[in-house]
Amino acid sequence: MKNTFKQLESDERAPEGLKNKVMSSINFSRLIIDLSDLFIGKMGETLGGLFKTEKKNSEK
Amino acid sequence: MKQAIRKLTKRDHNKRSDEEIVSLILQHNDSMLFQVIYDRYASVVYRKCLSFTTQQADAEDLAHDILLKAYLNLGKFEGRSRFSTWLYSITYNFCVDYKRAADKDLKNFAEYAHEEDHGQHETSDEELFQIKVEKLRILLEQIDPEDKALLLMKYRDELPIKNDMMEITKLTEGAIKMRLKRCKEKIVRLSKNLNSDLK
Repeated sequence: MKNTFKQLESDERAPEGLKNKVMSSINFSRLIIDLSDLFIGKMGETLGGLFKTEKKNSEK
Repeated sequence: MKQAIRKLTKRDHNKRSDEEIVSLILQHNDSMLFQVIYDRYASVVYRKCLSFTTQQADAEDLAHDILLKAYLNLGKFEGRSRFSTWLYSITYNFCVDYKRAADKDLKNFAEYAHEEDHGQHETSDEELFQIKVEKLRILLEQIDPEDKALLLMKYRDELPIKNDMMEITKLTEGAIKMRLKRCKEKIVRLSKNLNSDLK
């Protein structure tokens, strides 16, 4: 017996502009992630450095 | 190094498995390689989205969000299943959530949830396949989106329950079989009701 569900299959292709949209979104997301990593990473290092300096000052 | 990888893989793209491409993307942090994954799966994902919305613009937005999510979560792909199954899982969950949010008419879902299982007669696949495709499209809109997805996975996409459907839905084999049994009964019952409504 013929499976009617197979007739539900479409042969549509993804729209032309979708690839650019997806790759642009990926690149934008990466930029945000890289900026966040840079900011948080550097901030962590900076704060850590501040405490080290203070400790040395208090030892004098 | 990235340029070299890209030049190498440009020729070898078709020869590399999805899992190898994913590994290269993660190893070299090369998002451009994702275009290979896109070229292989974008149309498949788009067609799945079209099953859950009649609006092409909505299907395009869904497909965009799914592919973006897939890229951002590549690090979570552990290789326990095939990449295509993992991507299908993201697609399935996204589409079901979308449909649930978009469909304000929950009446049919509520009726379905409280309906008792009257039948000892198990609905056969043949009974299901007797429903004409135009009516089947209407009926699939009247059941819970997750059940619709199960029926599509089983009968349209012909995915095996073991491994594939279990991996995608995170349900046990027994739970999937039980839900499919109930879905089939529901669809056939709705079909008969629709016939009598049209008379």
